[in-house]
Amino acid sequence: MNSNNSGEKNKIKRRNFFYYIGAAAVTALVATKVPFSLFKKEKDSPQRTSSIKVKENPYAVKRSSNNG
Amino acid sequence: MDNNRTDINEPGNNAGENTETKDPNYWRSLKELYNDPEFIKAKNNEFGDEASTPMDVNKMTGLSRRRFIALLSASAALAAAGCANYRDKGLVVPYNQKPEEVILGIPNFYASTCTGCSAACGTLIKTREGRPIKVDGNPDHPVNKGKLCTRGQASIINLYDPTRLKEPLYSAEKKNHLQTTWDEAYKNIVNAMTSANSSGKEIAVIAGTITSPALKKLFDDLKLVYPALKVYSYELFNNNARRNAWIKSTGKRIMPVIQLDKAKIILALESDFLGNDENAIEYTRMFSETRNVMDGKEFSRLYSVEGAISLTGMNADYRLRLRTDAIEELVMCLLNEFVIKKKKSDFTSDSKVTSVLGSYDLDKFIAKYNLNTKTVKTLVEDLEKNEGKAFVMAGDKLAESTHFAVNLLNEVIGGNKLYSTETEDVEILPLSTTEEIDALVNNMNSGKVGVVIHLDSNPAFHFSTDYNYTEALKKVQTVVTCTELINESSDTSNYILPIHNQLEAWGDHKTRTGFYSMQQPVISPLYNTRQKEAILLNLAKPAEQYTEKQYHDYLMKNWQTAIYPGMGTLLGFSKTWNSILHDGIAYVSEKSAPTTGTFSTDALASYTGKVKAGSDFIVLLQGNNTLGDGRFANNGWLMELPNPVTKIVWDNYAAVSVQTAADLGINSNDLIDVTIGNKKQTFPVFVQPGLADKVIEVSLGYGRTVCGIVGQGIGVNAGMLMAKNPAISERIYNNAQVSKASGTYELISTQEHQPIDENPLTKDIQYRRGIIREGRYEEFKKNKNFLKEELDKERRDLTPINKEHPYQESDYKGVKWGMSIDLNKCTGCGSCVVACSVENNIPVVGKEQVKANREMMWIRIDRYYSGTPDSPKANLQPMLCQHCDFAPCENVCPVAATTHSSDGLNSMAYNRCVGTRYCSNNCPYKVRRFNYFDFRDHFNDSFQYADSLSLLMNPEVTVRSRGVMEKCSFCLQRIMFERQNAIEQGRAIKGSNVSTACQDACPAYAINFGDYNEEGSEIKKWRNHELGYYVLEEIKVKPNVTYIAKLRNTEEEKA
Repeated sequence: MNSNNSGEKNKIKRRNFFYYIGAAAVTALVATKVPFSLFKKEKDSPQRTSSIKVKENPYAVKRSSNNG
Repeated sequence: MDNNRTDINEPGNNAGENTETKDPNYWRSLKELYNDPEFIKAKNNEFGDEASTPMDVNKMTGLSRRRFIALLSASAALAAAGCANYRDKGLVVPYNQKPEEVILGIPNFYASTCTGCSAACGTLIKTREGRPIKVDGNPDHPVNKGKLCTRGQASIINLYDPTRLKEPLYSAEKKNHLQTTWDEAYKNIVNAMTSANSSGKEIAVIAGTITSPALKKLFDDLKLVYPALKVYSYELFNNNARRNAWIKSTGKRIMPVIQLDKAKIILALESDFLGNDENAIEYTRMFSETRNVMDGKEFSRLYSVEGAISLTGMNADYRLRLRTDAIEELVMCLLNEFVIKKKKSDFTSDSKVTSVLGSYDLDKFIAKYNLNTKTVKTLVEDLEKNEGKAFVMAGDKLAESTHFAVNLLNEVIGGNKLYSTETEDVEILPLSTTEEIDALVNNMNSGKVGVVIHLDSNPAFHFSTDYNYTEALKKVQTVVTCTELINESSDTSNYILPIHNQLEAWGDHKTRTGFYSMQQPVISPLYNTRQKEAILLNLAKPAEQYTEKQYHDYLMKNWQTAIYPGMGTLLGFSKTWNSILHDGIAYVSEKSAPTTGTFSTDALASYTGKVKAGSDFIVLLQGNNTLGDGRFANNGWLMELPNPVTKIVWDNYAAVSVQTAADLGINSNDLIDVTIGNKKQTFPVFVQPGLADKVIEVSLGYGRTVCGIVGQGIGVNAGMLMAKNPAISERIYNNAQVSKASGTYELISTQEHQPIDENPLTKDIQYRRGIIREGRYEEFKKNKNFLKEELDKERRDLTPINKEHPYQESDYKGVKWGMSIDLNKCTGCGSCVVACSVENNIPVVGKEQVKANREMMWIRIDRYYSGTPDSPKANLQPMLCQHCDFAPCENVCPVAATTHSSDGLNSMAYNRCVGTRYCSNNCPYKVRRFNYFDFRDHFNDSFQYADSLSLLMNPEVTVRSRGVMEKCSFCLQRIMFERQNAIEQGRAIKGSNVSTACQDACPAYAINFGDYNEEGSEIKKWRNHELGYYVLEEIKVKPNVTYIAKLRNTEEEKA
């Protein structure tokens, strides 16, 4: 038996294959470009804290090493 | 576990205590001792079930080759699309205007004070580019001398806690709080206070222990504006019993500081001075100084008598288990022995003393409680022989009357000679009495209190439920809570005012005579928070506009007028101020009246012998080395730190003895109901060797209902069992009823994780290979090589393993890094574990992952018991990567991600690792940790990826991601820092300039690190010490961590 013919009935047409590839590419493009975050429900999660400004206290007295 | 347990030893028999055997039967847990099938299974399954479940083809869905390829392609496309939006890690941008004090890549250090408890230890905070990244002890501080406890080490995470309050909140109904402004809040609170003041209603400020003289002055100033204001202070883990007993003994409030480093004999009575009792850091240092095999000084001898099993008990030379309520009787019997029988001390002629002591007898006591007669007799001999060098330590939780009896015993045996004459323990503001708190609550209930301000305190969680404080709070018109995180008290408040973290705040602290400890902010406030003292200052002067500098100026002015003149310095104030901030310490010449003096026995007749032992269950409400009184509940590192005794993480539990478990028909993970009077609480059970029978030991601080997302609902609130007028003490109840409850609850202990005997070659290795090596101090004095000779004898029996090295040895002529750990000094406190986690960006993984053996801490402290479950002797051994010269992990890595450096380090290239875990499998020490997930992402809804927590990261250490193996690096970043300095200065690298994070943290000075080839270095001395050994050295992997064998200062057991 020719094993190449075993799945003949399941094969898709060459033209359909390219249609599917094209559709997949468009879907991937849309998926990466659409700003889904706009639809996301705002919630008070810890990650959403506003950016924090780090500043040393001007009145503190520093040491230059841990030995004094 | 077999509840009959007759094959191990007779229940309740203490006679086996401290029996010396040549071949200790080491066991790590009861599961191992009783050959629990679960443990055997776990030993043979290193990575857990989930990691090794084989693929069952039959259970797979039928899938055509084409469909498989299609799905694979779709997955690849989706993955590619997903990668386009990979987690935004932000931009790295240079400073537009670099702050003067910042040099990129170079850390700054600031001296400050820890406010995690009332000890007020000095801290040294390391900042990088303005961000505090590590808290260590201040080496210049006379109390903690550069060391810090687990909580102090982990406190850094609290600054960056994403759930910190960021804005003031308000609610008229004391629920569903909404954001408000500081101005609005101030205006309304001032109005409420003014109104209360004018209508004769009380304004109550409730704070914790006040250690700040400036804050005390601020209270005084506030009282001038609001005469109706009263200050209350409380502490869950307080010193009230000790202080009240001292007042009764000597008539003085100031208490002595004990020079434990000069003690030869220490008797600890339910005292955990090496663990959870107050001042543990200083006592650990002092105790370790008496266990130094290097200095040739005589070892001290530590006796521990306790109902619970504490870290101190585990480190004791002799340990006796005794019901806690019988301890006072033991002290009275000892007093009888010395005063009546041996005619010691001047009290022999004091009829007040002799008449009380006459009814006690030590021999009868020994028989009654089935104690080891020889041990008790040795104790009595030691106390007698070492007059003036022996000291009795009573535990914080013991009753006032027991403390009084112990004070008297110390007078009799000369323990009072160990009271320091240099410095004394002072209090700035005494804690409120039960009567005062009771009166406050009554006033609240009757509408006589107009305003309550919780000043960084949480009485709704801490106060006994007898007060019914939360209900009383509802009757107060205006309740204000000043806090960093929401808590049970803020939940029933009108105003929740967010306050600075300790690293953002100013302060001065005084706990001893002779010096002040200074607190300075190392970072400007991250959020719209205010210093709690500044809030009070603003309430006192509402007309003044708030500035961040306000309390700084107040503090400075107070120093300039009240303290500086007494400092006797020729420097101007400004220079002095800068100098004390730089040092973190201000020494003053002051001499208070001596704390010691005539001992008053007036109170004796009505006072001693008050605690009568019963036969019911005793409940001990314990401290802990993790959450403290609950204020650290939201700290993941502390939640995940194994309890030093039980090794349980993420929970508290009721620990019971093996016999008690058998009597109640319960086992670990069962539930029990504990009832004291009309209060009942349900706890999961942990069967703990060494506990006295009918003693239930539970940790306080757990069971928070309102806190951040990490700690909420973790554990059970044992504090609800506390009574406001307890018969013995707030933390000891001997009238408890205990019964088995329905259901189970799984507790997770790390003790059986990473077992090192999982394969036939190394099976039962701890019995045969001397992982733990121990001996008696007397033997060491006679023959310093006695353990080495013993080891050599054993090695001869180890063929065929005992072969030549398989590889050519490198001579390591340059620097050769190594570590030594002195098991005589190590108490197993866990400070090193937390310090390592902070330094090396180790994530919190959560209880479920710990259960699956996936904890990530690079150091674990192994606990080995020997002896019987009733009277175990414990050995504690920090275990970390041994940086073996012939590391078996290196030659199995298929991608050479773990390799050996020329200076002897076993290194990891994280971005080369593909996560085969072969290295971990081949590591005989089981010290490698695998990132099964991106744990920062996986734990608690990406909690650890919050913006603020990323500021916590040490920039010198790679943040590891999923699929990567990691392990101890010997703090490679610190070695590189020294290397950089050496290059800049044109000199050779010096090993003694490098210290690892664990070494810096260790309060017992048990860890040494350096270059083995550096002449005259400490590490070289340790490596060549007669007691030095390597764990599993017989398997020829040539580890580079030298362990100094443990010596027990015990008498020889005669057959």
